[in-house]
Amino acid sequence: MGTRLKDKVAAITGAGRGIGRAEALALAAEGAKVVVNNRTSAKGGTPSDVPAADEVVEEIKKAGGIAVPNYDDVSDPDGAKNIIQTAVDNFGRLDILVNNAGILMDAQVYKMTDEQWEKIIKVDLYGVFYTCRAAAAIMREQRWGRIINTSSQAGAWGRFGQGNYAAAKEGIVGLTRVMARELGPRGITCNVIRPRAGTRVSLSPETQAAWEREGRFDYIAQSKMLKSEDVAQFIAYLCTEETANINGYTFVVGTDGIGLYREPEPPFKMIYSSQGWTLDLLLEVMPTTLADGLVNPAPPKTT
Amino acid sequence: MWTIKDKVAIVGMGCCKFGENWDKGADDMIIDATYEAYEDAGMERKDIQAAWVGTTVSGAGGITIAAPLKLDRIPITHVQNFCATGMETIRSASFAIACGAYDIVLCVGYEKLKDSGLAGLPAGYIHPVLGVNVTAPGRWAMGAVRYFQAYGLSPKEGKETLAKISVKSHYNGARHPKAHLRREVTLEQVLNAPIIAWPLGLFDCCGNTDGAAAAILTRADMAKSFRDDPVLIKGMGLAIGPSLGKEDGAYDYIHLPETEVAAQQAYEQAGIKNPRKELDILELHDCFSISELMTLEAIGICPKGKAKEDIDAGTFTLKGELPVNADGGLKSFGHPIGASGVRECYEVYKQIQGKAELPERQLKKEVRLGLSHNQGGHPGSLLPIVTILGRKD
Repeated sequence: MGTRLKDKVAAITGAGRGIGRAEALALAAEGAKVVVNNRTSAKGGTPSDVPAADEVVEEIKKAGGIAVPNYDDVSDPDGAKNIIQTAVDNFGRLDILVNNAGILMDAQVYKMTDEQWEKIIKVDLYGVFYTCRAAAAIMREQRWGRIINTSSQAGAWGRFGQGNYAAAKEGIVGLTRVMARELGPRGITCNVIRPRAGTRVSLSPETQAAWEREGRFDYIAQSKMLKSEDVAQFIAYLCTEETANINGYTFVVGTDGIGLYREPEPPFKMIYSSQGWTLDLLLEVMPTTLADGLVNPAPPKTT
Repeated sequence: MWTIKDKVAIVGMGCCKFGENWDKGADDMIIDATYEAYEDAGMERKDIQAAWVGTTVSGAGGITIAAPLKLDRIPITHVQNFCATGMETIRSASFAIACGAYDIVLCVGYEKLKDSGLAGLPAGYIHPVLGVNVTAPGRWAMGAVRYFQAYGLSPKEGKETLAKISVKSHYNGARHPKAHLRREVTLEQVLNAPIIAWPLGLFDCCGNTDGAAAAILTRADMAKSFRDDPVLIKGMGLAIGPSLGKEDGAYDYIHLPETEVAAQQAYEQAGIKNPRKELDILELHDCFSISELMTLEAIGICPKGKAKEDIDAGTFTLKGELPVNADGGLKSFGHPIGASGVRECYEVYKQIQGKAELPERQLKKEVRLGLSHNQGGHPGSLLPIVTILGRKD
């Protein structure tokens, strides 16, 4: 057992399996008292007799750590509030919030249903807002906190069929960037990770079957090589006292490498006009200026 | 028709240990290979009347071998024909013997890629427009993708077919003490390997290797005075196209027309009517797994689009009907650019004599006639040499 997070209290959403579970174990292993939030059973899907959160709590206790389970739904404002309240009720405070809960419902935009859109935005984006709102109120009073929100590479890459998921996950990046400015003066840091790990979400049976069909065995092998435990170690690092200067940043985190994303910058190329723009003018100047060298990432198919 | 058949004999060959030879310079490897060839032929330095040397990036000029071998005031020619440089030394030297200019000549191919600042194929002159963003694996990958599509192979099937070629090559190379990459790989390892240019992964690409190989050629009619089992050159073909593949809308990227012609030239000279039946062993230039597959079809071993059937059936394994790259090929034996063409003859030469490196590597069947294929370039811009080697009838 390490002591680097001794006496800190952490809440982790979606901590029943995959990356969230690894994060809960990693923080507990450094001495943090952990609220393990997970809505569903160990088998996934609907709740059943053995909630996944209980299994993780059991595992933490066996290793000599301190943890309590919570079964609330992050997409419900009261549920999210209750996750934070569980920390306060059991351990008297909250120092760390790791938002990891998330789900997928893939569909191309033109045939995406209202339900597919709303459900994902509700869980993946609203859920993060609800927990952050509740946690920030407490952390502000304590004048210390660590909030880590989980985005994805889906939006950064424009991953096919994941418009809803990408919108939510990029929303998290914007939300966190603002929170960093709002909460920084109170000693709270807010950062985003885009994890790379082979989990139930990223390497679903459907994904694996599709990659096999496409002959991308390398993707499968790489995905399996990417371990949730390695992502969790980086989360533990962000929770230490040593990371006070890391606030509002986005990292890509995988077993084989960790990267810092560039923050949005002013446009790197601009054209100027003293009399506004006309269509004729744009058609004339754009091809040799801003549009010069641009490549369509998905050009029209001829076959 | 004039033919080179039975005019030139190989009476000695040598090949150094291929690999990442950090402890050896080009000179050391040239000496290792050449002195093995001297010993094999029962000759010494003073017997050599002329020499050819092939290297693409590790030196220029005849002095590259004259200095380490102490060749003293004889004609030496440096040839360069891309990745077909090695076999070009044997081709050029063969014509010099056939025309009567010399009786005994030495051919040396070598390359020193490690410790030379190279990380992959040397670029050389690249056209500022047509050559931009082009790599060797990229071009062959384009051929592979087109091949899959043209012959109805799903990406999964195509990838698995190529993987079987690499598994076979590593199996063979693991058994040759002079090979570079001497470890067997599984189908799963090949499939899961990082992609270089899809569908070509790490194990679809040949090694980046140091090495040297040498051959001593004589007039066929005097070969018997050096050894009982000389190997004769039965045919040679070289067909370089105008490199118009990428501009020619009719070119399909799935066939290798230059190789088809080079093989035809060699077959005609050798009098081969049915290569699949008459040839006993093939050494093909498998710079990439797809190259071996497409070459099998280009040289008439498999009907077009049908190589997969034979690969699946194990036709080209060591115990199969027609072993291909019994020494591991470029994939496993390695690819020191200038040496490869000579090494491709080395294995066929040894197998024909029944003297394969390690007795257990000798093919169980009788080996009378073999084909060695060496090539530079890529689909659409190819430089293939085909040499038929055989016993003295």
